[in-house]
Amino acid sequence: MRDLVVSFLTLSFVLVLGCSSKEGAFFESTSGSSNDLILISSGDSNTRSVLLYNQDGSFNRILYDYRTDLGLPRGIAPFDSESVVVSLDNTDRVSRVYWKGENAGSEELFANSGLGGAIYQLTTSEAGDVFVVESNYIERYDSTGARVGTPYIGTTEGSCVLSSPRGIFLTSDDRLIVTNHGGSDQLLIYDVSDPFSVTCLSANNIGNNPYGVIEHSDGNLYVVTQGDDQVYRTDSDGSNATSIWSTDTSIINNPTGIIELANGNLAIASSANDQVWEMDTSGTLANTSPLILDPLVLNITDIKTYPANFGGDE
Amino acid sequence: MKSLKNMLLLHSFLFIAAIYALPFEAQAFGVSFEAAIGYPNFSLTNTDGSKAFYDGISVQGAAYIPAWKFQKTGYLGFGLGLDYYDLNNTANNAEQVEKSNHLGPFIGVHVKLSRFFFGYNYNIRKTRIYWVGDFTNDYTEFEYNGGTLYAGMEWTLSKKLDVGITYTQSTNQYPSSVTHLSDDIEFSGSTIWLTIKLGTGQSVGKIFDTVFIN
Repeated sequence: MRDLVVSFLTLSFVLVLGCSSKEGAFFESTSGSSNDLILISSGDSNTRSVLLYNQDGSFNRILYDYRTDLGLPRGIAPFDSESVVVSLDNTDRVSRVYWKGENAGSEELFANSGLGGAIYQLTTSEAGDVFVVESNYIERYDSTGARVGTPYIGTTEGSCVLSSPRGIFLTSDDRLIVTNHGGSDQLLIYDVSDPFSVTCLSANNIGNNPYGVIEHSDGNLYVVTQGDDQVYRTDSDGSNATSIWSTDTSIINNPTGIIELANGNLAIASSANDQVWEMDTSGTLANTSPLILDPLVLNITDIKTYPANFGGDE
Repeated sequence: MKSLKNMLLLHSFLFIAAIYALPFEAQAFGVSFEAAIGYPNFSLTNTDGSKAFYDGISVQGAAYIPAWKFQKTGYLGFGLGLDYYDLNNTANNAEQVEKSNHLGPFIGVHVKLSRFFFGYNYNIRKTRIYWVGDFTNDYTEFEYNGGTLYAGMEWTLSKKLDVGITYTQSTNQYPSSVTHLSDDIEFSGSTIWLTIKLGTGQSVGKIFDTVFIN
């Protein structure tokens, strides 16, 4: 009888231990891959596609092809877990492309109010705010597509003067970083925490024709420049620019975008040779071949990270 | 819910097996061979602090070699074998699936005291992890190692046959050198095993004699 009780209690104990069933995250992938994805917009007249790639550079899917629509994709950014937003020039607008959920595969107008000039890159917040480069202005839209400000950031805001802006990046602490491709080639940083007011935080010269910009998890900013085909690192306020990649146009030629990969490396969109290259933050190439080399990727206009949990998914 | 149902079925089966096994005598001393099927529950913590949980099925084959007998049915010895895990992420859904296979040998010390036993194994495993879905279609392979503490009890069905249940607690490391992540990832968890063990009643030397000389 004692053996019977001991056996029963032992079995019950170990089975209770084994009955835990939990839901959680996915393992952040290895070998350079991750659950995060890469968004790319192609601006070639023959490939006006917005595309999705995996972190290891493998093709995931075409999100939408604008070749039969009016509009040249100039920027792309995640909007929520099911859709992305795309800035298009001629006809000027921001469109929303659904790739998951019941509307997957469809595209709709998100906003066009105030858009009439040269449209370039855009960025988003997780709350659904959209910031778009337009001529020498920055337009802002709320999550419903309603325009905020007229425009939200004018040409001159304190010591920040927009001059042919191209790249745009929103940090987690609501600092908007904009590159001035024209004028004196500057990196402008604004405080955009208040939808009704903008403050210029800094304006620093950098390289020659800066374009794409990101804030890296190491706290520094990284900027690609088209005039000298280089990659620069600056302090978080845009000061102390240092080149980490010297000119080699066989690799980086007319760069338009830059992102941080899950492993901390940088991925740089080289629009003139239609490639994306991976390098570490000291400027050493990760591989001797491009991270992305794909017939669909032509004249890259923008590249962005699409975090796996963006918009609260997973 | 499905897991709970499976566990209840296993519980019922083991309980009946335990009652059935109790009247039999203890197993004879000697080298023994074991086959086991298990229900593993593992987890890991990503570098961003998020946790991933896994369950699935596991199988194991092992040999136990007594080295020092200190009771009628007790001994200190060595164990070695091979285990295989087939794991599914518990967050799997229609949009994204993560699965993994883990296979590798282990070796360790094994202590048996009457119908109870415990021990420790050092294991090396090769894993293949793959993701299928909207976010990632990819796989990766690498090796990792770790250790497993275990304890359990067994019941004698016949002179040469035991059945038992074992609880194992494993702690392993996915090295950053192979995952390319900023830190090592601890991959740990427990497994409940249902075991069946065949006792030979013979020493290693006699088994070698039987196989290679006679």
